[in-house]
Amino acid sequence: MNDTCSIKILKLFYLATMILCTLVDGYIYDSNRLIFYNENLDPSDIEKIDKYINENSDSEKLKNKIEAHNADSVDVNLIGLSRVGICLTNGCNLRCNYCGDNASDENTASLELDDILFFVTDVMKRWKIRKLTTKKEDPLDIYFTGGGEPSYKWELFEQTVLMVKRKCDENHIPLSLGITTNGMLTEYQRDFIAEHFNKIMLSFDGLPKIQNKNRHSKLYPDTSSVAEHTIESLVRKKVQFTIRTTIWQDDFCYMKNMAEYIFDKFGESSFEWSILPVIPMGRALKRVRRDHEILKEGNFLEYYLDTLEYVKNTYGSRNISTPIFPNSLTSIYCGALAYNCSCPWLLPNKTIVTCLEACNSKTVIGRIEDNKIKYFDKCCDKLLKIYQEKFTECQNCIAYRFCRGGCPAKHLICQEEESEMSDWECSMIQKYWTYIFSKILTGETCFGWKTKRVDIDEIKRYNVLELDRVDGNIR
Amino acid sequence: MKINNVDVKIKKMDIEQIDDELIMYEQLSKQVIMFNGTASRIWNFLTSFDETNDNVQTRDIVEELFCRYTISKANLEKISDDVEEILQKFIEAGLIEIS
Repeated sequence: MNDTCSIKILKLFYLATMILCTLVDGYIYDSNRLIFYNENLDPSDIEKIDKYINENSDSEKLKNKIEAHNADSVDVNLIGLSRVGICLTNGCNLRCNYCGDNASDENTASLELDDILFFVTDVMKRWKIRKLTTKKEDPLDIYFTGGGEPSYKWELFEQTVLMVKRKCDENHIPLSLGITTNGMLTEYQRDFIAEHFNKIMLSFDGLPKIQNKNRHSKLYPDTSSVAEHTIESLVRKKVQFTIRTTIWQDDFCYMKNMAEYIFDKFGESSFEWSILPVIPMGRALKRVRRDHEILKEGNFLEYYLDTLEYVKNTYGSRNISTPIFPNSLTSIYCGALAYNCSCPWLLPNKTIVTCLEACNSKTVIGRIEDNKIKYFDKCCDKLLKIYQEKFTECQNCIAYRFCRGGCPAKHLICQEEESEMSDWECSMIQKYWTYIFSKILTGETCFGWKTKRVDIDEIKRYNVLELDRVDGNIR
Repeated sequence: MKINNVDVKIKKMDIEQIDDELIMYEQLSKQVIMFNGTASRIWNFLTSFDETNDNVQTRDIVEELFCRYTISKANLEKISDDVEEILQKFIEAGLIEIS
């Protein structure tokens, strides 16, 4: 990590407008225009640059759009859909020390097959409406995760998958099934998942000692070996899948060892390795409350970059990612705002919510009642309330154009818990963008980004650089 | 075509089907209309006569439903009233235009 990169917020007053820019390695980054120019330019030069390069930020428009809704009483607006999630059960065979849902023996509530049938039939209608109104025919994405382990009640899981596939087939709806599983599966179950699922994410915490420390169970004394057998089985079947490693901040130092273990053991195959720092929710909160001073010191970016470099040098090209860093320009970051919900989730208690990760502050937009799906006309949306705040509050951040205030669920959880871990995540994202900018300002490419010189005669002499994508597709 | 001796035109709609239910979309008005199974059956029956000179009567539709569903003869009069009501709704929604 380049520690010499300094971020300073400069308040440049000119033309009676306050423009907030960020300083990176001697360049001023204007996030409204996505340009960089030398910090030593005079205000009159900057004025000229601004005259010739239009703002391409629609922040004001987006802000008005978000603030047009009263978070205490939001219209639930679900018409056409192409993505939904189903959380079949709260039951789980593991007791992970960071489980966001706090899976326990006391809560093993599950949906019934009929509930799922009602939900899926309604979703299929909404997919057809989307097809009629937009002419889009991309597959209906149905994702199984959360609450517990989707395959925990195997019979229900198997019947659900077969029923969903049959219904979509009968109604000529292309279907894509996805699952996140803990991998505690028999060979028959591995075969079934490999056969029916297009997207498979398998949780494995990188090293046996860390997997067994984090992801333990009364049923499986060595969860690592079972998860590894599942990975080996998927590799043998040549299925594309993702290994998800959830990692505590004080285990970042093992990241390279994890990479070695995974790529040595499972070889050169088509899996992606995705690394996610622990989210402070559910069972993880106990430790976050106790150890937050230690945890917030963990520099994820530094270890992540080191690991990428090490893997590249040792194994060549490998697919490694992390969901923590937003890596594209975005307008509204969160798809779980009730007025604009793009992926409703059916939970084991028969409610329908906009986001799985919002813990006790989930926005309930409907429920199964009397064998029917009932969406509410209005709902209270705490996620929207905090997103409205963050959308404005964060606009001077270097990462604003890429996360627009970030994940409201994480902010909300941290706010309710008075935890500093969402600040920790923000600081990682800021470091990430400072790192990218410092690289691309030297002419390198970095994580798909580069700069290009602005080619306008009137301002050529100022050497203004424009943020760009390597593939040219910045939007 | 005629319905109950009246010349009508059936509106052209984009249509999708889920199980036995129809979802219709009218691009101009951006209106989505959803039919339950019975209304869908009646609609499909009517549209099979579109652009013909046939004169479809309420009793023809009732007979069609009688063939498809388990309906006791005692209920036929009630069914006939329901069919009339659905036809009226089709007209009100602009799906059937009286020429």
